[in-house]
Amino acid sequence: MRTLIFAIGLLLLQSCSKAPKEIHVGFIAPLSERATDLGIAPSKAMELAVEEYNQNKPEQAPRIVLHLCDDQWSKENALPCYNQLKNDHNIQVVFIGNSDGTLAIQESIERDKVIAVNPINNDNLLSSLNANTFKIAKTTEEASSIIGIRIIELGLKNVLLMNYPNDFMRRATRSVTSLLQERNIPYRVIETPKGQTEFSNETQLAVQQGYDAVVFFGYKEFGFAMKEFREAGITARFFGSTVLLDPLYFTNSDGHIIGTECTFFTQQDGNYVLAENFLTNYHNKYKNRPVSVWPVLQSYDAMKIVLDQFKEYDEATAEHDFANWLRSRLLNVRRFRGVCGNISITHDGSSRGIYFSLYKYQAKGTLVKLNN
Amino acid sequence: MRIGGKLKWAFGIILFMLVGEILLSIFINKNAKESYQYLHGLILPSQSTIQQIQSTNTELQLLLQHRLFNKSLREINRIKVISEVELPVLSSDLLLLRELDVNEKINQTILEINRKVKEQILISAKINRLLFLELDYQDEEKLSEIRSDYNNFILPNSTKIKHLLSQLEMEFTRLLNESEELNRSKLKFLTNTLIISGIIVIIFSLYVTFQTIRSITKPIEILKSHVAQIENGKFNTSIDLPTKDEFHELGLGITRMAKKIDHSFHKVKLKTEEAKQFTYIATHDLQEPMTSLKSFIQLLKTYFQPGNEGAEKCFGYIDGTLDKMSTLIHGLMEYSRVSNYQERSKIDLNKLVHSIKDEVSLLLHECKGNIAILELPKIIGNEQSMHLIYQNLITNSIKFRSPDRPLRIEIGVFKKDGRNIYFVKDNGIGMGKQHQGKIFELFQTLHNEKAKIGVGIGLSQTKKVIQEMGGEIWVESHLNAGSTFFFTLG
Repeated sequence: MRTLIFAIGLLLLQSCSKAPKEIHVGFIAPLSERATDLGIAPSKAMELAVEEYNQNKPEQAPRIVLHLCDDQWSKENALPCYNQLKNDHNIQVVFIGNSDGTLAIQESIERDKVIAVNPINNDNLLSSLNANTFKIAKTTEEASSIIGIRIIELGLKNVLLMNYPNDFMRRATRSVTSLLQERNIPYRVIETPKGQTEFSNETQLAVQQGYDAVVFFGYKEFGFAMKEFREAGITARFFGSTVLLDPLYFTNSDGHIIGTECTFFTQQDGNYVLAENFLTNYHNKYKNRPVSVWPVLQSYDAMKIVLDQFKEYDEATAEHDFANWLRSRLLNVRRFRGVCGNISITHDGSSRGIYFSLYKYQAKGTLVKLNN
Repeated sequence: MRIGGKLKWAFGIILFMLVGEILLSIFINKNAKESYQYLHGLILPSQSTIQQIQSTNTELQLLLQHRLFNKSLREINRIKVISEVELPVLSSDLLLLRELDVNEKINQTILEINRKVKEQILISAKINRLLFLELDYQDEEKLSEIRSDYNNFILPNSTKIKHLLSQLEMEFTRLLNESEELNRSKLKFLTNTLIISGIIVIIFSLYVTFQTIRSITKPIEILKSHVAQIENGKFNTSIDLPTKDEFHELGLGITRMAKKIDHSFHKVKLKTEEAKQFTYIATHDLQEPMTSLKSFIQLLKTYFQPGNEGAEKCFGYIDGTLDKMSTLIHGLMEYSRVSNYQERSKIDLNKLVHSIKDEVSLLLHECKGNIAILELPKIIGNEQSMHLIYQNLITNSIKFRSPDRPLRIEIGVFKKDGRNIYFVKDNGIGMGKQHQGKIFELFQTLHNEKAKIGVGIGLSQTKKVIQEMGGEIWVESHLNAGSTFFFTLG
């Protein structure tokens, strides 16, 4: 009898002291080198989302632990980062912003039954990947096409497009050139190698060709190109991608970035009140405001959407096949009221509801919305 | 039925009725919960969805109108949000209501709305796409096509959707009212049922409880009255309870026990009578030959010449022995009479003890003794018995007084454990512990020949009288220091 009571007591003690389930989530992000505005601030936004979730989660819901890995915005680092996170922390969900990196880890996530979420880009190619990949972000092609439309609208006739050699920038370039082709507007595309900081050949070409529009679909190195172009007397309108607010872009361009038009997303384009509230919380926690708002807002929403599923964590089903459980839940996300807007996830894992607008670089670190 | 069975049945019935009441209550709760869920899980969300579609549809129409006639590009993203996220989701939400299969009319209306919304989404997306540039507004052909789309599809569709949604809303409002009315009447009926059944349960439970208690207390009352009769000496009582439970068995047992007691009492009575008869015969019949013997001895004395020392001595012994025998027979007669003192009356013990003090005043005077009588109570008892008790104890103190000091007797009473304890205390010769247990036995006297006075009847007679009254007597004594006799009365 005593043994029985002891055993029951032990069982009760064990059940009382049972540690809450923990789920490890990874974020492969550029924390150094390049496109850090897509990594540092977004990782803080994710930390904030996780913190809010852990503090307010239902009792039965698992605790979430976020782990970061710096891929330096290079697809070569994506898989090592993923392996490190998987081996060290047994992550079950991975966030990754780099489109090439997302492609690089496809086989591994399918093998490991890990759910991948891209909180930065959402393009056609990514949407055709395996069923474990979700894209909670703006549509790359759609956002970039705004530049093409703007060029047509302004009646510009000779366009130079320079793009960084990655899938995202190539895709952005293609979405512009397809529009230009429709309107028979001549254009030229130059893909520069990684790390190029000297653009004398391109400058010379631009002077010779008399381009009235130059599109810079790349990162901070293109700041040097902007500077060289302007110093060479080129007065063409400048257009850029979604990453113009990288402070080094301004520095490298020596201020010539001002006046560049780009597609962007701020709280004005999303659920303004929620977004402002989030940015205030962000400021209160980190004592600064993110330079580039859209990656932060998108990352926060992407993480919140995933965390929202854990609030109704079904241990029996999830333990058996976590990826399947989370996938089916994410595919049913409809009108999630996020900071970016009301977001739905479609059958192919891509999201709808985040729409970029046209902005103009007005002063250092400041963009203003056009067509407002 | 046995008592255990009765109680089990009674509790079982009450429990069963309570369980029934609880089940009914659960049923009512469940019913109310289902009704609430029906209202809040179906009708109210449906109305909310309808209202959202209504407002979103109107917003879309106005946005498109603005884009078309005010050449505005600002609404592009909002139209995208409506046509890509909000309307598809709301429309699919509405479609889900069909699965509930409320009625065919609603299902048809939902399908029609869904179809119209899809058309609206497609045309909106087309207009949004075609009017992307300011330049597009300069293309009259394109503009004309778009206006045609707007006038021929968007406007009529929007009106149709509004109309269908209003119909649907009315239908759901009707359902809501019907459902609320039905729930109200259903809940009222169920609540009334619960109250009435509750009252029935209470009344029936009270009846069952009363009957069960009565079936137990009634035999107890009967048994109690019979036991009282037995207590008063009516042993020929017969208890035959009409039930077949333990009380019936108990009644039969008590009847049997009473009969046995009656039989034993009868036997004891006979034996007592026999003993009395024997004592009477022994004492009375022995007295007579004793008297004859004494007469013959007196006659025999006359045949002897005076001066015959040996004969005189023998006659002296014979007289002494005969006197002693006579005293013993007399004592035995007195002792046997004790049980005849049965008459009870109110006795003032102060008065009684003072009268005894007067009776023995001569003896007291001779031995220069004194009796101190403390305050004594008035009691109900047999006066003869009380007289005998105090007379024997006082006489005893006088008999066994000390030659070394004047006799002092103290008579009183004190309370202990709620009982009156009476005492008679003297400063006589006292006795050792070895004698204290024997002095109440018949014909037992102190072995100290010097102090041997009496025949040993008084104290045993006193003890018998006290025991007859249901009391007890004991002594505390120290040699040469005196004795105290304590006694209680039943």
